[in-house]
Amino acid sequence: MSPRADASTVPGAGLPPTLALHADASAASVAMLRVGVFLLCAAEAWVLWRQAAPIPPDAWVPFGLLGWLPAAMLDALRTTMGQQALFVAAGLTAVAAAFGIAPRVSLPVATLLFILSQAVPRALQGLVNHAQVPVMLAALVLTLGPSADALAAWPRRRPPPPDGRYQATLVYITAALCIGYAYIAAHRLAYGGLQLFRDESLLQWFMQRSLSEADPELALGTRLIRSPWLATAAQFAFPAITALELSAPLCLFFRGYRRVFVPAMLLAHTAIYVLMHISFSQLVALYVVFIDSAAWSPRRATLDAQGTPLPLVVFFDGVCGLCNRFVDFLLRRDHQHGLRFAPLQGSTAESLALPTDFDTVVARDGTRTLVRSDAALAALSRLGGLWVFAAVLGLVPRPLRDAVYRFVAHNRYRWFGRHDSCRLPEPHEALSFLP
Amino acid sequence: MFQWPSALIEGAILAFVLGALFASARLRTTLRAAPRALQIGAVLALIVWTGSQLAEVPLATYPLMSWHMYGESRDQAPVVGYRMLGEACDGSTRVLPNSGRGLGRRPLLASGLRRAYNDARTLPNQRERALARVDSLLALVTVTWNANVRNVPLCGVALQQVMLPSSNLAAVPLPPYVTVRRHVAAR
Repeated sequence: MSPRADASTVPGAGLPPTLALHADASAASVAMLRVGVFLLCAAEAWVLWRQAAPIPPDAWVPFGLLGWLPAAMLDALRTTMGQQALFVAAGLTAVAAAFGIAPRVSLPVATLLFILSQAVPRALQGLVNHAQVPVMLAALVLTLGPSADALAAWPRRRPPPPDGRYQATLVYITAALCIGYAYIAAHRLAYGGLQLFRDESLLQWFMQRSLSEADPELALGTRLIRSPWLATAAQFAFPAITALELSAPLCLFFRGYRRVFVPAMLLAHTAIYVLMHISFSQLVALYVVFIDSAAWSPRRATLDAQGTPLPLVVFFDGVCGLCNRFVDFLLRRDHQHGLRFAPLQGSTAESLALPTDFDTVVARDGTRTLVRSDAALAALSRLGGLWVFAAVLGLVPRPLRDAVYRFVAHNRYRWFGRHDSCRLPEPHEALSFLP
Repeated sequence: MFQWPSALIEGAILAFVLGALFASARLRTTLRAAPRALQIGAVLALIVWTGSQLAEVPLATYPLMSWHMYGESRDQAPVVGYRMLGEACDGSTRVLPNSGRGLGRRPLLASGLRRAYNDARTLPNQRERALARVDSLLALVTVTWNANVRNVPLCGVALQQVMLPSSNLAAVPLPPYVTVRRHVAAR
């Protein structure tokens, strides 16, 4: 890779650096993805339960893994009751896997049932919608990886010390997504070749889908074909999208490439949905792995020289009513004692030369200083439990988040009052407060 | 369908992409930090997936199979479309939507029907079996519609087909649909 590739520095002496993507991933990052992926599986099971079953026994043929099942199981699945039971079981185990209930059992069973239940509607159609396949691969990676170290009702074991396994798990999923795109492009180039981009195949596929509409002449696909400009644009976009798909693995290395790839592919998938009614929603939901986990989940905690996680220090305006309420809120829920608090007007803040602007809460994570919405979200997500999902708000662009923050901060004294002096900790809170 | 020259080209492209990918020491270091079970599972999955991609295994290894998304030129084959025409008991007809309330929000019925008829048309050795699937699904469409739209009961459903030439689509007017299979509900 070129020197401009983004990389994380030095995980250990003598080892090459790791990727920058997901370098700060924590147990919570992987667990949050587990919740999302398996809730997606549960939603799919619910949709299939409504959409697919019952399929007449004589109208479907064994498909994929279904064909490997024993004849007795296959016969059971041909019945209405069998199909309903499969979808219900797939949905329930997926919910259990999402919330980490008995993860050692629920994760593999939910993954297997998700794959099998997806094969039922395919058995009717005789074809596959590839959008579900990356979700299956993600479920498989999460089953084999350390996804049950956090947010689990009965975790497999005590959470191990922070290391690279969380980053690796997210990178495996990202790589699977990228390799899938590369496979599609490789097949297209090898079997379709340049001829595919020169002839009218793309327009013919649009037309084929339009012909199934109630009024094909009004269908968007037909309108595109009838418009010389739009048809030409589609013909040019086809090889461009193929080139992007082939080079998808670059997303693992270059943030700039991800910034081009993600919007371009989102646009392409949206266009296919609008023109051909082929949904890629499950695939697109996984695109979160193209965004560094630090933007949507709690970062890995900074360690001291002994390898102990350092607490996040929250500096707040000691005389502000809202800030004090926020501190009380955090204190009540900080069962893991991962937070420390100090007034911005105090000696600790002064010694660290923090910003003198009292209109923002400041969070100090090791040597990193966070302000405004970043600081508030970091503090909330450090509470653990379901509070880690507060970090998802980090996906909202920072200028937007900070604009709201500034508006509230500007009016905080008027709305929530102002104290004459800084808040003093109660005796039982003394350990959580710094001067 | 598997073809030697194309498979070789595909293999070369994939070898280049995967080779360049795993040549990165950063990536290898990152991936090695995963638990052993995940590493082994990923290697096995990559072998099966790549193998079925190159050998053009379409279904047997689902979900790790050959990905064919709009990958092959349609050549000169005509563009074929299907629609369902509902025949109401009062003699009127209406084009049935592919999904919606009438079909119990089950778009798979329409796509399964199209697929079954296409199999009957293109796979001569499976024609009878595929037509039986078509009849079964047409009957199911009628039952589903009559259960959901009680004010316009259907006494029959026809599967209609339309064919367009593959070239110069922009200028080709839409020919009329032709009924290719019909189901009449028992009264």
